Formats: sequence, structure tokens, C-alpha cells
Amino acid sequence: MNAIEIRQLRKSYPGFSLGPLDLSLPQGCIVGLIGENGAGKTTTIRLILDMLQRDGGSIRILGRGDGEGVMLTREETGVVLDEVGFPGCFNTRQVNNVMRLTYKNWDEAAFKTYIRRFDLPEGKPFKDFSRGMKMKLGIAAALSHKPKLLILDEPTSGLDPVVRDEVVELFSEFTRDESHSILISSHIVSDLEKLCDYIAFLHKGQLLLFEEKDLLLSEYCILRCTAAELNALPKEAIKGKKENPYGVTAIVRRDAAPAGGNISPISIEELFVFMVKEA
Amino acid sequence: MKALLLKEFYMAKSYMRVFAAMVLIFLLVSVWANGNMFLIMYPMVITAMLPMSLLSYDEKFHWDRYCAAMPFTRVQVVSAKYVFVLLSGLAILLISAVAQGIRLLPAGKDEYFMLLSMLLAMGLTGPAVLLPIIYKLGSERARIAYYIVIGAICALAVILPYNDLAVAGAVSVPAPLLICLISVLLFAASWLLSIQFYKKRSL
Repeated sequence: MNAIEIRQLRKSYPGFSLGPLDLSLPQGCIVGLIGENGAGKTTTIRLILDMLQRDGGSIRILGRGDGEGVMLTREETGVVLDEVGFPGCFNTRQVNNVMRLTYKNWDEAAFKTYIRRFDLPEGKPFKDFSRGMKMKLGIAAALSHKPKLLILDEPTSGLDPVVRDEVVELFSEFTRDESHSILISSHIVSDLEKLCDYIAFLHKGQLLLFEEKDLLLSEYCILRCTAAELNALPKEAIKGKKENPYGVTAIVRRDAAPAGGNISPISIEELFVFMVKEA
Repeated sequence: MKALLLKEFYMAKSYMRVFAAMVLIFLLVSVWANGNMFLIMYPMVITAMLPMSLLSYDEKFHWDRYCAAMPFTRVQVVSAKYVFVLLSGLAILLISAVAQGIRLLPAGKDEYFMLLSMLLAMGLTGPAVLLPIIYKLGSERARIAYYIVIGAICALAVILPYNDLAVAGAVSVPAPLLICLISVLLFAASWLLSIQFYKKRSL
């Protein structure tokens, strides 16, 4: 089963159009939604969360379609948005009290454990938290109602590398249970490269690519060669190129790269940058 | 719904402490102020504006979006605000009823009930007019409407001639009842309208 299944999703604003978008999050997996600012990542997530009305298409979450068991789906979905939305006056005790009445599966003990683990101050108002602390509290709340699905919109942006590493580790822990899945958006590609099973590239509202991460890394490589050598390759094998006075750096399918050529492994970030520039 | 009401209570407790102190002082002073309408009405006007302030805090802290991902329907989210208006307004109405009862009841019931009905109208009309506008436009874009309504309510509180009407017996017996009925109907219509607006709102 797919934890999220998006078919032909469309949304238009003046000056921006998303889709038609087809995307699936297989159960037990982590899908990373990568895109530059304004690519449509947040719009996609807000459409999934029914915060926006879509112009067309369908979305199934945890096997349920439009209007089917909406409240149950929300019980089973933990959400962390780029701005964690607790009122500024709330302390962790008040967050716990409100969430306890919000979610049927709220696990107070788990929440308190996360608070201690993240070293969050109990009496301090949320507005005085650093961005990292705010994000940690949002993650603690999202994980404490025993969700099957996490939807995370830029959860690592603005965090220092140490906190980012902690957060990425926590998400990896979450998916050790095979019934747990994560959809995570970010423009910090290195975090997603560490974490994700599948990668989706969004650019100007269009899905450029949706593929298993390991397959992408094994399928493509960086080739440094002359323009003439590159032109000798089949066009469909070239995903992107950068020309400079000394030659060409290109992303090519590994099976099409010339034997003995100057090739090196590719990172997801390089693949994304090349593809966006080509698009 | 209980979670949403608890959240409103925490926010009101935190952000409206000064208002609460002012309301209390005005309520006490109004007992000895010989019918000064501004002093009598002001606590209710302030209380009636409370949900609008809380809504703008919700937007400021992005609670509106966060809450949309929780197991609440939009009907519940809107209804929590309206129930909070009713609860806070009722509390002020009850305290005012006791305070003004001390002052007015020895002289008769007409002016007393007229005053209470006007207090109820004040408490319900402001939110009834403003909440649908905020749910439609968002608190930032609805700010001009907010100031116009506050001004209108304050002006009404000062210029309405309740004393003259009531004391002179110009008010027919069901007048307070009529005022209450109109206010409650307006409030109910506003509630339904806000739900419709919020259901369609992009967050």
C-alpha cells in the first residue's frame, strides 16, 4: 500500500501553476521532495493536508480517498510545518494539555521523554525558543500521538548542523517500523540524501524526476570531457551539462559513459542542480 | 472542541491580563458612577473584541495552519471561537448583572433589564459583524473593519438614551427581549456565515 498516492494533482495561482503531479509514497519509505524556493513543495504539502482547495486530481492518504475517514487520517498523521504553529505563550506543559485533548492516541509519557531528550525547557514560553528548539517541540508533538505517517515541510531549514543531524537521526528511527512513512520537503538536499529512499525533484511546479535514491546514484555519474566527446553520446543519456573553457562537466547515464572516461560518482544535490538548470 | 477552548483560555489568560484588570476596575467603578454608560458598557466592548485579537494571534503564530492538520473540522475551529465569545460574554454579563443590580434594582426592573439586554447586544453584535469578515479576509485585511466596528460600538454605548427611555417608561415591556432576540439571531447567522467562509479559506 502507498501511504500517499497523488494522481494528476493541479493547483494554479496567478503566476504559478502546480502539476499535473503524480507522486506516491510507498509505506515504510521516506520520500524527499526537493526543489528550490517557490518550486511548489509547500503548495503540494498544503494540498495533501487539505489546507488548499485543489483545482483537480486526487489524493489518497493511508489508503483513504477524499472525504473518507478524514479525522482518522489526521489522527494518524504527524505534521511539522516550516513554522511550528504553537501560540507564543504556550509552554511545553500547556502544549501537552492541549494535545492530550486533541489526539486520542496522545502519549504523554512519550512526549515528556522527547522533551527531556531534546533538552527543552518546560516553563519557557514558545516565543522565546530558538528556531531549533521550536522545531524540536514540533517534532516531539508530531511523534507523540503515534502517527503512521509524518509530513514534514522544511523541518531542517534554519537549524544548525548538529540539530539537523539529530533530527535526521530521529526520522530514521521513526521509519524502522515498517508501517511508518515520511514525506519530507527541503531545499537542503544533503539532509534528504542521507535520509530518503525516494527522491522527487520539483521545479516551477512540475515534477522533473521521481526515482529511488540508490537507483539514481547508481544510474548516473559525472563525466568530465570535451564538447566533442559529449556530443558523441546519445542525447537521452545526458541529463545536464555545464560548459567551461576547459571542457564540459555533464551528468550522464552510467551505462552510456565512455569506457575509460573521466567519470566520478554523483550526489543528489549535483543531479538536482544540473537538472534544474537544464529544465 | 475542548482542546480548542483550552487553547483559547490559555491565550486569553496570557495576552489579555491587562484587559482583564481593566474590565474588573470598570465593572467596580460603574456601580458607583451613577449610570455612566461608558463605564458600564466598556467591559463588554473589550470582551467582545477579545476573539478578534485571539484570531490575529492565531495567524501571527501560524496556529491556523497547524490546527488545520489536526483532527478538527473547520466547523469545530470556527465554533470554538463562537463558544468562547459566548462564555466570556456570559461571564461579563453575569458580573454586570450583579453589579448593576445593586445600583438599579431598588429603583425598579425596567431600566435594569433594558441595560442587560443592551449589554448582551454589545457582547454579541461586535463579534457577529467582525468574525465573518476576519474568517473571509484574514485578520490583517479585516483590520479597517475592526476599527470601524469598535468605534461604532463605543459611540452607541455612549449615545444610546437607555436611562431616558427606561425611566420615562417609553420602552414597552418586550423591548429588552426583542433586543436579545435580534442579537442572538444575528450572532447565529454570523456563526453559520463564518463556517461557510472558513470552509473555503486557503490556509
